[in-house]
Amino acid sequence: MSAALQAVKQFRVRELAPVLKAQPTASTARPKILNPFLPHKNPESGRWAPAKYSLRRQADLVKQARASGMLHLLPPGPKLSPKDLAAASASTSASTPTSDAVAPVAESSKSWWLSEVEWEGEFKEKEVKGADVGNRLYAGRKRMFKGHKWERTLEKRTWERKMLMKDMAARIERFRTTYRRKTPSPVSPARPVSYSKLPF
Amino acid sequence: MAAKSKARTIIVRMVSTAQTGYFYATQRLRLGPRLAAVKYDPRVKSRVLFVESKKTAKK
Repeated sequence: MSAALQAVKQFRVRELAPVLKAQPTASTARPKILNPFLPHKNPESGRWAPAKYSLRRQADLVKQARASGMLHLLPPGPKLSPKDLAAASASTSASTPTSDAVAPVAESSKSWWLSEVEWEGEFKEKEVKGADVGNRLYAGRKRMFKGHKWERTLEKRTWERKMLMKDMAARIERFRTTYRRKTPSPVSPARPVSYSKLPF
Repeated sequence: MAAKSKARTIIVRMVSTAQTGYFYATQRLRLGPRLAAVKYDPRVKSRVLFVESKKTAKK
């Protein structure tokens, strides 16, 4: 028995045992069991009890059930939509008439965990906008991401830089040729030039 | 106690004239000419004129 099949079987045994073992052959109708994948509200206290299986464990169970082809045995939940469940149960019901060994085996005590069960608990599927179209990111939103500020200004900045670099050679040349200490500051008054005084 | 006298040198920023935002930090004499030099700007990957920024002394 593969590990995936074993895991699904263990889950079924754990969930079904208390209900089925209590009344072994009493009711012929499908037994009702609280869905362990969903939270339930206590009618007396009004408080919500969390799901018996965490989302991580639910996802693992669903993966293993898919691998071993036992999806129809799991209850619906946040990780397993009713649509997928219906498809899985439809495929199994299509395959069961062909195999003769399955029907008598299911009734035997060995595979009581394979028996049909009704899961109690309403599951409201979360609506994801745009999932049908394929674009989930912007469906139902007014604006798309307009880009980072640096992305929006990039073109302008590169153009400015290009313009400045064009005359950079001339600017450097000008800088190199001027002797800066000799350039008079525009603030200081003009130095008087005396033509009578001799420099020595 | 007398007030602390001002330092002889001051730390300044030499900003690229290619407006890339790249700068070099150096020091010069407090009473000295404004610094300018041709230095390498990695944003434009070439030598560019760098001029001391006119803002107040950068710490």
